[in-house]
Amino acid sequence: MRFRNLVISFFLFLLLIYPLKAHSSGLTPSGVGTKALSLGGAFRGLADDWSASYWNPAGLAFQTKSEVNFSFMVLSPRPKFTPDVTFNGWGVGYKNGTKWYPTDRNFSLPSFSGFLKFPELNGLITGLAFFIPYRSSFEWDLFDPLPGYNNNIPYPGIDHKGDLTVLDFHPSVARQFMEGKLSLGAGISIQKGDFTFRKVDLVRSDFPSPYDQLEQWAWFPVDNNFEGDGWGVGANIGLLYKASPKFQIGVSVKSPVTIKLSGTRSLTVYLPNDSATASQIEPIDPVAASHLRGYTLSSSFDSETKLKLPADLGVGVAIMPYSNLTLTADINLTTWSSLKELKFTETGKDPFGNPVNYTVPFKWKDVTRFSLGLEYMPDKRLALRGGYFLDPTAAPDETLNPMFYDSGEKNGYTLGVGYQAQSFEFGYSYEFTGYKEKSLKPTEGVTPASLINLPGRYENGNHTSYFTFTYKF
Amino acid sequence: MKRKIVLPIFLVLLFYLIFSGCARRKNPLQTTVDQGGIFETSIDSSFALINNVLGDPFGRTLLVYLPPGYQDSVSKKYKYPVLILLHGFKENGSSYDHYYRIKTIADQMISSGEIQPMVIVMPDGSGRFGGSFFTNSVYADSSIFAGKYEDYVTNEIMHQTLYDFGTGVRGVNVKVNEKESTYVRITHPQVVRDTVCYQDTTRHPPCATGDSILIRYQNITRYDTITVTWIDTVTIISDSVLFQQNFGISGHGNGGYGALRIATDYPLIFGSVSVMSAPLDFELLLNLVPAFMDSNGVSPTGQGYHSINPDPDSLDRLSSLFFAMAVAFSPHEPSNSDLRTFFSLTPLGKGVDLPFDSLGDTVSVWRDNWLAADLKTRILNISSHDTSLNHLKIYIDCGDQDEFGFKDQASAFYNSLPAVVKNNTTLQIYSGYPGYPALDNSFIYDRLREVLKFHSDHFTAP
Repeated sequence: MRFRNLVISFFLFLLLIYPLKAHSSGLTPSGVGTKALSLGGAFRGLADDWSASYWNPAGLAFQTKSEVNFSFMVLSPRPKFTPDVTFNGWGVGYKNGTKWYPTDRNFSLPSFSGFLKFPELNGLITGLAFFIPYRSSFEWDLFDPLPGYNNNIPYPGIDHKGDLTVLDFHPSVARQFMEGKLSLGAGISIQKGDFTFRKVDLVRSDFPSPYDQLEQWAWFPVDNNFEGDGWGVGANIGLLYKASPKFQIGVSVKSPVTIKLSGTRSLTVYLPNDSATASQIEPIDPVAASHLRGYTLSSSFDSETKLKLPADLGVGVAIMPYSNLTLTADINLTTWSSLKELKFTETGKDPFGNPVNYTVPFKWKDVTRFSLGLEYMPDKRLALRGGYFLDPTAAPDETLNPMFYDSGEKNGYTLGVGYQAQSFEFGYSYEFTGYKEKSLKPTEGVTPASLINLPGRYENGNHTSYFTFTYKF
Repeated sequence: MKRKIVLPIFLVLLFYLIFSGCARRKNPLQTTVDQGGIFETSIDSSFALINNVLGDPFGRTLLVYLPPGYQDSVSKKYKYPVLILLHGFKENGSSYDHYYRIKTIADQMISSGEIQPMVIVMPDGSGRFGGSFFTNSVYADSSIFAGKYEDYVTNEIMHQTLYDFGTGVRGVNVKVNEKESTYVRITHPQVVRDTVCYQDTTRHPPCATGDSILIRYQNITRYDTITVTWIDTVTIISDSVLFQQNFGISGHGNGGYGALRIATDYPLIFGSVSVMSAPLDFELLLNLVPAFMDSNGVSPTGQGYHSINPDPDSLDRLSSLFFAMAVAFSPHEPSNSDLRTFFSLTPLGKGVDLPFDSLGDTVSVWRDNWLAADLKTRILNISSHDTSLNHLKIYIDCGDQDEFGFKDQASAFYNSLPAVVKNNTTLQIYSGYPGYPALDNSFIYDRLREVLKFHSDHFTAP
């Protein structure tokens, strides 16, 4: 009877949270820890391994031993992008109509942790984890000047790039209360961020009439490239309550983190070459004529910006109807609305001598993610796991681009296995994340100079493999 | 036992999933584009342009686009359709190559199968005043003023194209010297009146290798002499349908006017004509007269009219356009003592008449010369029994913010077409986008693709 009530409660909980949909993604892998990922990220209510420091630090308090851990994630994003960057149907150099891949790479994301358990201090546990909560890197060749532009120096092959790596050094502490029914945990996020942003800016050419009408020379392509890094600090706290041996609930909160990025932004204009026309323009406008000589104009300057990473609030439950079966469900809200824009503080001039004033709008939205997990243990050493999550996109159409590929609602499917041998534990998980395809039409009224998003067809699927080795002592 | 089965299956599945996502994908390889070529030749001394009073050169270069495979096909029967492409105002014969990359466009479209291989001939009709409109600029007695550019295109260019580049009408087999020709140079009676073979100054039909051929054109007093080579001789073929299926003419701006004028003057030769942003209704051009006056500082009472310097370097584009049209259509007759609208263009006092006086009112030149040259007026004057244009396929386009009002002119011309011709006509008005409006020179690179496709569709299939 009790079991039936538990199952009913579980599904009522699902019905309650499903309409909220949910998510968290944006720039993140699905999380850390093989067990957590195997369960689709539905781990806040269970939180019974080292990755609790990421999901819900309160769960650390129920670790029975001290441990060290090494994990290794291989992330293989498989995006495709078919540009449709046109203006009232006219192209300006984007390689429209063809499906393009970024430079395919498998990202290796290691994580480490070590925790010391003090049973004599009400289960106090403390330690340090290192993981990579944000990793996104896509570089594309999507643009070439129009035929006839005739630049002497080839435009860069990689012309669009978004690359973000955030490392999190994460000391945590947790302990039990209420005779082991309740635990509280907290951690500090000391985050190091590296960020690269590269795109094509198009600047209206300055040729006099009628040369300004020649479409191949209508726009100067500018290679706009920012590279910077910086640090930020945040924290997370969590609570885990074991209502019964068969039901527990966890709540966790992560604070937002602002990483102050310092670096350099460079602008390089690739100019066309036509000496005959330059000679004709020279008497009328010598400056414009100089822009037909085929060389590049460059400037670079110190640049700073603030990358505002989101807060996260999550609730999860775990139900153990049998001793060898665990069901989990989570819902969490990630406040990606913090990422409104990247406003760069700079004191430089662009290659034409104008003061720079640059902002990259993101206008991302808060997202709520919904996760489900299941673990079945055929025996005490072996665990088989599966999970699912539904994760909407944070990026609105008006700023969507393939440099930060969060193009559509994601459905994640996970499988995993864990095996214990005396003091050692091995874990593996595989996750496939399918993105809902999106076809984004060009926005009416947008000019090449005011282009923010990149219209086109977005398709994606991520493969993630995760290995974990743990030694308990 | 159960575990022994489940675990291996689970692991195999996992490892498959691990490695299925890791392979590096190749981006689409650049499509291989077969390369044609731009061939430059010249007419060293055009009989249609020689002795023009403006001193414009009578030796002209001629650019010809030769499609991929052309060189391989010279000794074979295959011949190519011909598109004559006339340049815009203040441009010259090399503009389509230099600015609009006709070779890049044609190579790509031919390689992708969007158009059939064709020869594209780009004559130079430039003049000191910005453009010839590819018309015969002559005095009333037909003597040359700025040059007989229409004759230059239809006689000299057409024939030289057929000759030097071996373009011809496909599907024609001609017997020469009792053998079926493997390669025939042909021409049309509207272009060449006759050819006569000579050997040692003796007329010597039929032609034989080593003979000289005298070519007499229809409209110009020119006699070209060539030597018969292994590739036989010149054959005049009167089958106009064959020509119409293989000859098209196109142009932009002043070349667009010229293309339509030539196509309607030579309907036996041309089967398709395309016109990009061109003056097709001169009556609507008169709407721009106030702007002309303003930009040249002419007061409402007419003061300043005669102070206008017609030198194109001192004029804006609109004013240059009016003077270029005056050069093309209304040379001032030396015997005409009415100097109200006269502007001298040469040290010897040769010049032109504008079609409006200092108050902006039209004068007799407007009626006698400009309206006579106006394509809409000419179309409206076609007899209802005249079916000579019924075969002609016409494409007209224009940007919606053309600064010379060509959009309204294109629509007016289109609406004036006889029903049968109208049915064969496509009119496209296109828009630009904020920051890059569709003016008269905008988007030519893209419009050329439409033009090539249009003509390719109307050339007979290879």
